[in-house]
Amino acid sequence: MKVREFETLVTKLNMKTRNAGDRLAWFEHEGKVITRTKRSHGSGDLPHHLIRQQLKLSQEELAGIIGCSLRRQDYVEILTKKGLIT
Amino acid sequence: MQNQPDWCNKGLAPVTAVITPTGRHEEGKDRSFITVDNRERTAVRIRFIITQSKREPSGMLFGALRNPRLKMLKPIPLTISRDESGSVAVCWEAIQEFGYGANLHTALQDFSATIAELHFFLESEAQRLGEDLGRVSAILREHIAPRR
Repeated sequence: MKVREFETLVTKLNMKTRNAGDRLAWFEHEGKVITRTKRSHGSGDLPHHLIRQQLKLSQEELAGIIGCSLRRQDYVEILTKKGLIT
Repeated sequence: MQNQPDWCNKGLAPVTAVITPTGRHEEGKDRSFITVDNRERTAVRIRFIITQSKREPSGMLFGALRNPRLKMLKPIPLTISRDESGSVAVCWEAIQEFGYGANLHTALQDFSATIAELHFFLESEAQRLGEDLGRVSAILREHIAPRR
């Protein structure tokens, strides 16, 4: 995963971030912290499948979010179906 | 005699001897000869063959947390993998946390920093965690704890 794709992901899902060495990003819904991921500074490509697993997404779902066919609300529905949002 | 190894019938017999530094030692091109001092003065050839495995480990136990504010309670089992670019990922499957780098050393450094940051983040947001991150936090607390 390219860094710009990670940034797209963070922006599309309206994830919160902090910049303490690593770049920790987390997804909140209705005041709850549901999922999290991170990227390290100074890396080249990022491990696509590991980030995907942290966000609880399939390969197609992650491609959809990066490729703009899925939006934040779709992500909420995905997490709800998977039982992470109740 | 029955039940004797075949070499016993060839006039050879095993001997037990202690190889001491005072035994005669000769260096050859790629081998060493040590004469074991016994009554028969049998020359014994000893060859050491050292091979280095090129196979990378597929897993390890991590215990090198570098953050001075935290201590390890028990080691963390990591899987190790290498992607097409040659970069190394170490992964704690139980909580799906990872470290990533150009080699195993940098991947482990990344992992060490990551779980420390994750611990502090989850502790600071403890009241707002969803069920899955609550599970992650509980697992993390089994392995690391603040230093008092």
